[in-house]
Parts: sequence; C-alpha cells; structure tokens
Amino acid sequence: MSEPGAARGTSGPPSRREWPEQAIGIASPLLFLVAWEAASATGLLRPQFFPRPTLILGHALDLALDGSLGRHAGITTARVAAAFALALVPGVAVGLAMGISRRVRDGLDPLFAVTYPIPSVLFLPLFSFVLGPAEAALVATSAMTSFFLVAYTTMTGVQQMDRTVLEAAAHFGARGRTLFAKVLLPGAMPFIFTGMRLGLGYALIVVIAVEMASAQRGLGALLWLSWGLLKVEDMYAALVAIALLGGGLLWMLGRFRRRLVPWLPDVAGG
Amino acid sequence: MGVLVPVIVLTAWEAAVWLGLMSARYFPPPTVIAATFAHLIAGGVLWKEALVTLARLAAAFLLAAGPAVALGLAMGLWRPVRSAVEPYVALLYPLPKIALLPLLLIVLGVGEAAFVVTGAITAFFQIVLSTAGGVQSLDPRLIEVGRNYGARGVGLFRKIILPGALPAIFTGLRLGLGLALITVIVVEFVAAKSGLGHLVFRSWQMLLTAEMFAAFALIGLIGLALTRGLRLLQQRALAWTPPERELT
Amino acid sequence: MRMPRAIVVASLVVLAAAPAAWAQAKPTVKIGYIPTDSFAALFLLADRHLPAAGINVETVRLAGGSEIVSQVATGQLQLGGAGMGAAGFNAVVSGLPVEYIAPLHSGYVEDYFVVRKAVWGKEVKRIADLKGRAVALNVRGAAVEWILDLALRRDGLTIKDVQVKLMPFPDMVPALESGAVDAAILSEPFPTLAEEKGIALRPLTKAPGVKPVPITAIFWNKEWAAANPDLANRVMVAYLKAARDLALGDGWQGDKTLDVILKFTPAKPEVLKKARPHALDANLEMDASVLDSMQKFNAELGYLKYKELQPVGKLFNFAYRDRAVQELGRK
Repeated sequence: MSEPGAARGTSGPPSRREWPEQAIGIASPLLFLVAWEAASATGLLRPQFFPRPTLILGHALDLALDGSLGRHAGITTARVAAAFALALVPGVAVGLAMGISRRVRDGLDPLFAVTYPIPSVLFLPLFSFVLGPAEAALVATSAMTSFFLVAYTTMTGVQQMDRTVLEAAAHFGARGRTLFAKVLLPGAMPFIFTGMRLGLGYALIVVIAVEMASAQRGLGALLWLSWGLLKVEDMYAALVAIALLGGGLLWMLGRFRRRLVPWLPDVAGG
Repeated sequence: MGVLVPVIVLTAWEAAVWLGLMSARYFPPPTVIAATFAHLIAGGVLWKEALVTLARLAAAFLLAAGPAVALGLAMGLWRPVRSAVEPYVALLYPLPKIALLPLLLIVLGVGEAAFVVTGAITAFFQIVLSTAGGVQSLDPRLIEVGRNYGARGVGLFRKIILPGALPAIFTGLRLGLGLALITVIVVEFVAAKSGLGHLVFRSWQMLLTAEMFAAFALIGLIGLALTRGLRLLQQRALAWTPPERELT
Repeated sequence: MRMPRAIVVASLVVLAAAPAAWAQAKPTVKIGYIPTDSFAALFLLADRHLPAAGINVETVRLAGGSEIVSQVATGQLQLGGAGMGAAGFNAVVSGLPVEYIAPLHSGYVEDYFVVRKAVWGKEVKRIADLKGRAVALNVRGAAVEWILDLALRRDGLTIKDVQVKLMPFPDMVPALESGAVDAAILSEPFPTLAEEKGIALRPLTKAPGVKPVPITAIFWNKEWAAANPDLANRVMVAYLKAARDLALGDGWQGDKTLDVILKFTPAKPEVLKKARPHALDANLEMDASVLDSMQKFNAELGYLKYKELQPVGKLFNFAYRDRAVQELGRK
C-alpha cells in the first residue's frame, strides 16, 4: 500500500504505474455512459425518463445551436459573475479588517455566526423586499455565502501569517501601505484564493438554487421548469450545461491564479 | 463587545420601523417577530416543521456517512479505486447538488426520498473527499515506523492509518452534516411542502413576514448550534490532535 | 465507524425489501389529487364507489398536476387527476405509460378568476390594470395558466403581461389578503371563501347561455391498466357511478357529496355549499375542441415537446369509458 501518506511524499517523474491508472480514470466514466446508452436503448431504463446519452448530447447541441441554451447559460453566467464580484471586494476588505483588528473581529463575529449558517437562498425574500423582485435581489442573494467565505478565508490568511515576517519587514522600514501591499496581502494570498475558489463555487450553487426557486430564465429555471413540464431532454441538457459551467468557471479561476500568483501551491481548504 | 453589535442592530431596526423609515409590512419590528416566534413555538408549528427538517437531515446524514467513509478509505488506500472514482468526483464537484433534485424527483418520485437523497449526496461528497484526503496526507514516517514494528495489512490499518486519518474523517463528517443541513433547507425552499425551508418560502409568498423572520431565526439558531456544537464535540473526542485550522 | 455503517446497511436492506413485500399484498389503487372541489368525482370514487366494489384505495395529496402526472407515469400512483396541460400532453406524446381516460370536471373561467378586493375599483379598475402586477397560479403549464390567459385576453392582456407567483390554492387566500398578489386563478371552495371573508371578488360575469369548458381530466398508468384489465374496468365503472352522483344525483352541493368533499379539502361546509357549481357529464362526455386551444397555448409558451397539435384520440383513451357506459347503460 503506497497510497497513505502519498500526498506528503516526494513527487518524482511519472512512474510506470500511472498509465493504467489514467486508463481506469477514462474507462470508468466511459463504461458508465456505454452502459447507460445500452440500458436506455433496450428499454431496461425507461427512455422517456433516462434518454440515451447520445440523444441527450444531441438535444443539448440542438438547444445550443438554436440559441436557447446559450441564452439561459449566458444569463446564469452573468449572474454568477456579478454575484462573485459583489462578494469578492467587500469580502476581502472585511476579511482583512477582521484579520488585522481584533475589535473588528469581535464586533462582527456574532453577526456573522448567526447569519452564516442560514442558506443564502433564504435571503432572497429579504433582498427582494429591499431591492425589488428582480435581478438585483437575485445577485445579492447569491453573493451572500461567497461573501462570508471570502471574508473568513481572508481573515484566516492574515491571522496565520508568520508574525516574524511582519516584524522583520517593519524592521526594515516597511510601514502602512507598503507593509500592507508588499507583505500582508501577498502573505494572505493563498487563503484569499482558496476563498475565491470556494466563493465562486458557492455563487454558482446559490444562483442555480434561486433560479430553480423563482426565476423564469437561466439554467436553474430551465432545469426546474423542464421537469415540471416533463420535458426530460431539456432537463438533462440543463444539467449538463450547469456541470460544464461549474467546471469552466473553476478552470478559469485556476488559470487566472496561475497567471497572477504562480508561486502559490493551493492551500487545502475543502 | 460581541453582544453589543447585534443589540445595536436590533434596536436600530426597531427604531427604524417605529419612525416609519422601514416598512413594517416587509420588515416587522423585532418585538413583533419575537412575539410571533413565541406564538409559533407555543402553537407547535415551529417545532413540527423543525422536526421535519431535522428528520430529513438525520436520514440524509446516516444514509451518506457509512458508505462515504468506506469509499473515502478505499480511495485513500488503493490507487485503482481512486483512479476509478476520481473522474466522477471531478465531474460532480463543480455541479451544485441541488441541480440533481429534478432527476431524483423523477427517479424516486415526489416525496421524502428525493429530498433526503439530495442532502445525502452533498454530505457524501464532502465526507469522501475529507476521508480520502485524510488518509493520503498521513505522515509517511508514521507508516514507516509502524511497518518497522511489524504492523501489516489490517493491523497497520487499525493501529496507524485509521487513527491517523480520524481527525480528517471527523472534520469531513462535521462539514458533511453542515452541508447536508443547508442542502435540505434549500430543497425545502425549492420543492418541499413541509420543513423550515418551506415555511420560509410559504410565508414569503403569502407576505406573512413576521412568520418568515421567525423561521429564519430558528434556522440560524439550529445551524449555529449544530456547527459550534459539533466542533466542540470533535475537540473533545479527538483531544490528542493539534487544533484544526478553522474556517468558521 | 462500524456501528453506524451496520445500521445503514440494515436500513437499506429493509427499504429494499419493503416494496417487494408490498407488492404481494392486496392490490391497491393509489390516487393522486389536489385539495379542491373540482376533484369531487375522484373523491367520491375513492371514498364511496371503489370500496363498494371491494377495491382498496390510497389517496395521496399533492400540490400540482404535473407532480401527479409524473407520479402516475412512473407508476408510483395508478390514477390521478389534473388540469389538462403540458406535463400530461408531453407525457402521453413522448410515450410514457400515461393516458387520459375521462374528464374530471368542467367549469367557467368567470368562476376561477379572482381579484383582490382592496385594489379593485382603486388601482385596478379593470382587468387591463393588472399589467405588471402579481397574480397567483398553482402550477405552470396546466389548465389554470390557460384560464388565466383567457381571462386576461378579455381586456387585452396576455399571461406575459403579469407577474406569476406560484403557490398552492389554499395559500392564495392569505396571499390575496396580505397583498402579496393582486389576482389569482383559484379553484373552489377557495374563491367563495375569499369572497366570504371580503378578501377578493370575481369581476367577470357569465354571458347568458355560456357553456362550461372542460378543465380537468383523469388519467392512469397504461401499463398498470393493461396488466390489470379487470381491475381497470371496475375502476372505470366505479368512476362513472361517481360522475353520475354529481351529474344526476346529489350534485356538487348535496349534503352527501359535501360530506365526502370535506374529507379531502380543508373547507367548511357552509362555504362549500355556496361554492359555484361545476359540471360533469353523466356519460363522461366532453367537448374535445378545448384541447386544441390548450395545446396551442402551451406550444406558444414553449411548454410542449412536440410541434404538431395532437387530436383527442391520441391524448385520450375513451375505450374504458365507453365500455363502462355500455355496462351501466347510457343516461
């Protein structure tokens, strides 16, 4: 057994054992899809509820080509981007403040502790009262959990910084803005990025949930409405699109991180 | 200091409504909410819905925990298992699990099973990832030492690997429970006809805002009790491990 | 982690065995319904005529027709009723084992469309003033949405001009009261209840001689019917008897009928008595032309999986009804 502790071991050149593993990695889902295709085609799985994967793909492509899938996907993506942006800046700002100042942390912590466990989607009514039952409320709702995640991880990032590094920098004359920009921020970066990754993921989750609950357009709305109307192929197409969107967003964030802070390993955070 | 901020917020809210700055229809003053809360508790409504939610949570968690820990351990121990499962994990990780709800409604029908399974899937993911990660991030020196003392196979597993991975497993279970609660409540908000999440949705649609906020408060309290309580439990149970770097 | 795992495995085994055990027991007909008195025929079927025919019944209350359709399609329910709409049409056309078998009730658009009293005559002087306002529906893609569109079209609006909020019928009354919605498509006894409480009113009046339109229908799982033809026939005969109770016997407002309806809907007898009556043909006949209008409406909103309007013969299977009418004789 060489797996336990493998994460901490040295990573050397790919060994001969890796090729079969990659093959399993590809074969496993492929086999699943083939089995599904066969089961649906032979009627073992009811094709009206479990259409063949090839049909689903074809239908998804049809929807993509006639623009309807693209429209819904575009709306959802825009909402996620807006929610993420809305969460990011205040999140980092508040997180830094909480990390630096004990008083800020003590003041905000009880407030956060009570609101954080509440699923974001439940804030939709509140935001729709204040902002009206339209896009703004939806985006604000989706930003909530992301905001908390970014704030908390940023705060942790500041707190875990080696005090000696800060002291050393101060000793060499770094003060105020310089200390902040050149030492504190980069030091907290790994955690901030973990927060961003989690925050982006949650922004998508909440946007989809809100769309399912009460929207007319967007992938979540498409997903929910198609089920209600028993337009099953549309439902699967929406599901595939959502998965692709989620994967795509995370991939983009990964690329962005590698460009901006290439020296960083990812900090395990969930 | 900690208590001060919420008190200030609530007082400001109360004042704002009385001064006519906030609409009482949409934001009933905290005193009214508290009264409604008491009324609903006394009438049993809140308990009933809370019980439904908690029952779903328990079912989801119990459904997921055992198999998830088992799979996580298997993934951590044997590379072929990990290679076989990893593509599914990678595919499903970025997918909001709530999006699986319609599919589950078709497969399992419009009822408890679909709601519980959706919550279970969310917990399942978290527990598998944490458990597998826990096994993989064991200090290899521990295993070396164990081997040097003659531990093999099952013995190695029971005496070295399992206890070593236990903190990560516990964290995974704790996070999984928290995520399952969130998922269950979201599912109730979107699709169910009972439970605290549904109560919030219903009161919202009927503009019974005092009830809505009362349900809110209860959800927040339950969530808080669960997360803090579980963390305490973990600290007690695994007192020998160094304190975890905590996110919340 | 061994103990909890054992419990999980044990529970899973029990859960897996339960349906198998169930299947061996006496055949039961599971019926899905919505708590409104439009479903009176189903209530009478479940409460009176199926037990009289020696058939076990289990009723399942759901909030919307599409849920009932999908449950019947998967066989979790055997029989159900719903407003005729997209979910049912899509299910039938896509080859799911669902078929409509008979009408459930006909009604009048004027009886369904309610407006909040507090705004009527003020902000909303006519139906066209509902533009942009919130209107309650219990489900999308079903007959109620079609009814709303018909009501709105009388004053130049369409369904796209209002903001639809989804909620079950019982919730619409408090929603009208609090102003969460300004109008609704409500099914009896709730519109009468809302009128009695002074919360809402029905602004549309019926033209003399206007006929009620078929709104809801019953459907069952085709495979179940094919596998249990004798049972299916007996169910149909019992349903015909229930329909005749309404059409020829006690009627929708009769005391014996009300007793049964009260078991399924959360309403008071006085309110039910005052509710506006529906209609159901004594031979379960219905004017099928409404299906074209419904399909067109659903197609325009993009709800349908198919492009060509289906004739009634494709959507309904009247064979069982005809056989039952033959058995009991035409009335």
